[in-house]
Amino acid sequence: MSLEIAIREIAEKLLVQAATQLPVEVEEVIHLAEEKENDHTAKAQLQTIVRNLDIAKQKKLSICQDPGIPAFEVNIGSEFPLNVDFDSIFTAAVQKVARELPLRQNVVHPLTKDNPGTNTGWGVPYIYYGYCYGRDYLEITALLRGGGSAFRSGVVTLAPTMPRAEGVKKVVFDFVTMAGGIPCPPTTIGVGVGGNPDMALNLAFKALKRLPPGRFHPDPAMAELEKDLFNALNKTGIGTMGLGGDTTVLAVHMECCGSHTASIPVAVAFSCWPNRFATARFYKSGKIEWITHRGENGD
Amino acid sequence: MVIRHISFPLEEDKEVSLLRVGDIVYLNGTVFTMRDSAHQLLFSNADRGLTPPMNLKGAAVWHCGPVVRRDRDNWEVTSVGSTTSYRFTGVTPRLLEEFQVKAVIGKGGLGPEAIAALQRTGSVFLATVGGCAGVYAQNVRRVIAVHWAEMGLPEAVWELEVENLGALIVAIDASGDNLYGKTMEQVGRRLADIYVDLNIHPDYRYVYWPPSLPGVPQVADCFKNYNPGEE
Repeated sequence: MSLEIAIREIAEKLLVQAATQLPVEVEEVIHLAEEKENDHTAKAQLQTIVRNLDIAKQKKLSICQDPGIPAFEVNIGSEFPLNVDFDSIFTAAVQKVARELPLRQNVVHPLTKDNPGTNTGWGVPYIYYGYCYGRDYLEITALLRGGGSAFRSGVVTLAPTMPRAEGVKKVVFDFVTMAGGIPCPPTTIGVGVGGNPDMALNLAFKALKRLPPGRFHPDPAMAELEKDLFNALNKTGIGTMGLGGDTTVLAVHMECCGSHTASIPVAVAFSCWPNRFATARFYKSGKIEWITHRGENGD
Repeated sequence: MVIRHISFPLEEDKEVSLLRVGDIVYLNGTVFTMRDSAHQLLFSNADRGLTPPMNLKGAAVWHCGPVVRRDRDNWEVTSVGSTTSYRFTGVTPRLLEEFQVKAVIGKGGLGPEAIAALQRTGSVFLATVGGCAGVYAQNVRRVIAVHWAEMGLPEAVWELEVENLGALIVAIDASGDNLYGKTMEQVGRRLADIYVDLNIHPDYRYVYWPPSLPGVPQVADCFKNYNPGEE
């Protein structure tokens, strides 16, 4: 089997995993939120969410009808022998899964709204590239982000003379309260601080993938902010779908980057409750390690 | 809070007019899906004196375009969930008053004109749980008919037979109570204490760019006037 075919098959399985099942540890925090919810409206909704996860898993259905803009992240190990065309491999994988699972035909030309009906085109699936020095694997992540949450994300710049930590907290609160129920809470919140605005946003979206949800940043200053924000956001009472309740966010993850002395961007990224992604490592030896889900078919 | 099973078309109007926000509803009988084009065509046909192919009296209308699969002569609904309802604010009063629809199903709520119309007509807005396309697809027993399929499958009106479609949350009731608005007002009140805890000064301008970001005092307002578009 050629390397291209092997990678394509992994990509297809990851897309199906991401669409039909949440990463094991993400599902666990949703179960936890359901168990400890006291608001009856939120409880009924969280029970429906748990039932939906079971049905999607058993019947191999999409968790949500909105697969977003399909994207992949690849992290290429320096010891992994590679000479392949990722664009065509991942395009073929998305088209196959979009047809067979199916995935809703989301992707259109941004101006003409022309829809090829394949969920691909004009650079989609979008690919984020990374490099891992000294590793002998290729790490692939399939990303499906619902529009309702992804499009509530954004970036602002802090005033240089203002207290930084408070500024970050205020920005996160502004975004979360502005969005209310639209991003399908309980959400996962990614916060990127520093760098240029594009770096901050990229870090914020990357932070959504941290597992297990709620694991703190190794930098104690960042970890303290994560803890404060997580507790405070869950006191707002926005709740499931903005209809009230104890859990507004499932986790808050921060990432930081060296910053310009005068301008500190703060980016906030949302994931709806179905924080959908799936990761596998494909080793030089041919071994495949499924990182986010239990085994190849996630059982 | 009560849990009710209600059949549509309604036999008695009070089955919905007595519902209150926070109640949970499971829906049986018939539901019509209607998106933007369906509202437009319904109204323009009515303006020309044409009778629609479906009877909406006492009906439940769902803001959604199902994902369907055709198996020989039968349609199968594989995935079904709400689109954002807010953009139907303008068309909802006529749907309720002229066509006597009694329940609107969707997500994210409706604007003030539509809430006033729900109150005038004793109707309700029922919220689906976002991201639960699998559960709701399981509640669809069969496709009774598809109307106006020439508008494209998502925009067509799907007449669906449903069994215990739910959970649906009564988010706006016939007394004009709005659970989204109520929740966000409560959020606004809680923020004062939360900001003290977090050491956030309410008058400080922490953000330098952009010059204005819809901030906290306007939370409820900005949510009310916000049209998130199609997602």
